[in-house]
Amino acid sequence: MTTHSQRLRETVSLVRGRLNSLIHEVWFHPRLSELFPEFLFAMYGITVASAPAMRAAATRCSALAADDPLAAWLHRYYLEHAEEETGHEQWLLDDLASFGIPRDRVLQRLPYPGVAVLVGVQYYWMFHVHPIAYLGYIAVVEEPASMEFLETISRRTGISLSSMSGHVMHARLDPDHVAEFDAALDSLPLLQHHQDLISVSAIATVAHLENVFSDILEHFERISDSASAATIFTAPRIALASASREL
Amino acid sequence: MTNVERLQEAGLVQIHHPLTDDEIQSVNALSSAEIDALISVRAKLGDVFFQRKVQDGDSHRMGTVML
Repeated sequence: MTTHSQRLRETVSLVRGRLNSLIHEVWFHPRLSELFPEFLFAMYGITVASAPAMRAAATRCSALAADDPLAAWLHRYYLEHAEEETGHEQWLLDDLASFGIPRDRVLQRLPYPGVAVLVGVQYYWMFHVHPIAYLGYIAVVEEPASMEFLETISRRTGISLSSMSGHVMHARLDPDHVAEFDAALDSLPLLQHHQDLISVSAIATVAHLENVFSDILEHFERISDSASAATIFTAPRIALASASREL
Repeated sequence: MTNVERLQEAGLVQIHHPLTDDEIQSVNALSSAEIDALISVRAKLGDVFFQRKVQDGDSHRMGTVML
């Protein structure tokens, strides 16, 4: 018998080929050491929104609790998860600072519209359909890179692991996240409309993430356009040599 | 009309990059709501074409975002 998580992963795998390819283009970009701050900026935009979105989902679950048998479980899950995610954006701010990009410059820059879309649709679903939709987002987004992969990237590019602390901390703290999420999903008494909503949310998340990763690459290509380059975070090669913070 | 036929009609399955048998089985197991979502976001289906650039196993090791 196919479990909820197996079915969800099969559905996601159908549609995430292009996303995988775009993520690969970023990580294996021939100028990753210069591109990396732009990547971190996009990841910051996503990460800073995670704990607040989970708390919003938990709030919505509270409102549904009297009539919805899933609401109590979801409320607890989202609050626990929000607690785990709180403050993780600070790692990314530290990483950007290691490239010479100060915190206030990051906070002043407008996030990608694609990031707002990625996160914003979740608020629509949680408040106007059902907060279980956010599980579809988590299923796609929360998949940290492995330490082995990050170490390989570091050796290849010269970017120190201390300048990838956001990625490194997740790789170290949460290597079993996907398996734990799948087990939690499989423990739920989901009805067909719950499964559909989780799946539709996941499909949309893949599509919106494609746009975010496309934006990262396209923004970087504009470096040659001096008028646009001012809005882009890039690392001068000299910054890499000085990025030596210890984790 | 099967799910695969719906996606073909919507232009989401490319003639030159047909779905594998496993993918066809997965597509035909999807609900109507899921198929509507695929069409709505103009999902790019099929892993074979895109995976040419991604070495075996990299997609898992490099993760998605982090969180």
